[in-house]
Amino acid sequence: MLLHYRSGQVTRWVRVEAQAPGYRVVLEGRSFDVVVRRSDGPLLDLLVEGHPVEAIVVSDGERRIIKVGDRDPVTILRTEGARRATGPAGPPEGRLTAAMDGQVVAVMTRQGDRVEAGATLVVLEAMKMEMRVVAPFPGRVRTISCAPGDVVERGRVLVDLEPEPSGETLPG
Amino acid sequence: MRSGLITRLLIANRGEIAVRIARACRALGIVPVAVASEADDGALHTRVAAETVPIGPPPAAASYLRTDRIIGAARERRCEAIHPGYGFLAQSPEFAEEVERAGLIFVGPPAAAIRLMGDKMAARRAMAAAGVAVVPGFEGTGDEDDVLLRREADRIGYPVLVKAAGGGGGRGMRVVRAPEELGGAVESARREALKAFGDARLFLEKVIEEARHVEVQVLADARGGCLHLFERECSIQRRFQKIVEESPSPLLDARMREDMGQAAVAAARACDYVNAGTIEFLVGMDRRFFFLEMNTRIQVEHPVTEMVTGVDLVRAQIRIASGEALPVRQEDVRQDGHALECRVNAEDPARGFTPSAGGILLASFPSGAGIRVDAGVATGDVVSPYYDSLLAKIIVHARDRQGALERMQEALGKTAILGVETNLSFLRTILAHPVFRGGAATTSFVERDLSAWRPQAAGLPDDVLIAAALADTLRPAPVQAALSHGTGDEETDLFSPWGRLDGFRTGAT
Repeated sequence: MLLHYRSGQVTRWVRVEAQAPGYRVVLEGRSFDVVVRRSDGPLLDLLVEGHPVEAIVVSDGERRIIKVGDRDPVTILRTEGARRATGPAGPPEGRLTAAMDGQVVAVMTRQGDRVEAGATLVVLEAMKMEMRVVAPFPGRVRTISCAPGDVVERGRVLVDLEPEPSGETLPG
Repeated sequence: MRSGLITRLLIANRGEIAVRIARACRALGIVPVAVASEADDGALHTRVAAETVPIGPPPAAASYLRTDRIIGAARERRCEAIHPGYGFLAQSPEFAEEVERAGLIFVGPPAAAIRLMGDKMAARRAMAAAGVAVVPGFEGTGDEDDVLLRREADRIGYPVLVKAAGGGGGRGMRVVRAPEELGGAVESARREALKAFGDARLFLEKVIEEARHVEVQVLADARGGCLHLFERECSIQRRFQKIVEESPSPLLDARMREDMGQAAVAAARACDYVNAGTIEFLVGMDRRFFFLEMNTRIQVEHPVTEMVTGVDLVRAQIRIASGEALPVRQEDVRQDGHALECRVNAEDPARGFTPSAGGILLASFPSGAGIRVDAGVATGDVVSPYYDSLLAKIIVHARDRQGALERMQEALGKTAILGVETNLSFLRTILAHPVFRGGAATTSFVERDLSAWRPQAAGLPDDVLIAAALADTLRPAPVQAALSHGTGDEETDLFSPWGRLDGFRTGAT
């Protein structure tokens, strides 16, 4: 089962496969053996690679709120995939970041370009996975701060997109 | 005499304090009757009460502040007494009078004491006359012209505070750092005071720099008994709202504690006080203390006093109101161990602590030895944008301050309120801060040492993602289309009623 989660502009995917005695969880190429010790309502008691993880997980539509141990809770959205992650809930400031550590393989736009929501702006690649950074809303490309071949860290700003509503003459 | 006069009590409040009062009623064998606005239909405070009377639409002015409906509800349900809690009508002398005119018992002080202490200028005069030191300042008739006020401000020394006679909790107040700012501050404070309190009278107080806020709990009965239950230190404030409180104060020594306790009793006696009240003092760097104001009601932070003294203040309030004598003698009141309270508010530290409304998907509180939680919400409840943001109070008690700090850190880590944003991460930051841990925090602490604080961008640790994925694998939930763009624009609408509050909230302090 492949699941996608979004936190801010960052989308990450997780593959969960049954594997006795529990599950094999693949996070962007890295694999973890997970045993479910208890699953009781919102409480989830796991062994991840032998380490106990006590979590509370609640959901509300796409929203997932996870509190692990005594740490502060984290809110993420479950999405249907990378493309899905470009819905209207994007940040107003339009600073699009790398969703993972990886290499920039293509920059599909230029400064000053007018782009529609969903347009691919940058393509990243890591561990044989390709990830597209797409425009979450229609706008104009203010700055591009990466180039093909750059190795970028997750969270690094790649493109600064200025919101600009669709013109009536433009399609879509 | 048992609390025989009162068999049914109407709680004219909501949230955690209404829950707290209902619990005290049950302990005394009294039937608690709740009131609820339409926004609070089915709220926790109605679930713990024996019965609930609906009192109107969500805005407080149409429900919780409607004297007529509240007294009508008490009569209809054959209650003998009304407990006002804090905020709302708790410090309205007119309400106290009307309750008594209706032949009901007001669980609180006499209207005259509320009225005197509600007029900050009259209160200063009364306290000075009773030999209690007030903050150096000037109070005349309240409508002095700028020339006279400027002369007085020069005498007091800058910075000075321009305060409204009808104010409190930071409202109608201006800090003036230089003579040329005085005229403008007086004008805007007058305007604000007239609008907020219908009373334009102003007075001046010297700003006590690096002050500590230390208050003393008093209890008085109608038979002439009056005692204090030691102090609470409440210097940890954000925009005049207390966030963390403790007892004992790390500042006081035995001598000062005794002096402040005696001053508080003198203050209460000077206004013929009956029931529970709090005398707030400011303590300067030279350790001199000054009367600031008296709160003529139960306080939000009363549990820390209960934890160290073992006296149930709300029960004492009800017993005193039904004519009983004080439950203890002064010489039997002890300050045992150390107690801390943290206020968990529905507010978003990432957005300047704006109130956060919404559904509580899960509320889970710590328990165990030395831990008490006074909560106003539970899983499934909705935090509406109409009332104050207090969700719950986490209170701990331990042998000493160090033990209490550790216990509180642990308790906050075990507190989960999911679905609305809370200030829990901010509370934990305060608890871990060396200035607070060292017992040296003043009322400037939050503003000076934590103004740059922002919640850490949580990132997405592997274990969080793994837990989410396993939860979705084990219990796949249908994705609700209507909520598929949650956390988006609709939040803005929910927040909008708060946009005009300018950071101050009425009521509980």
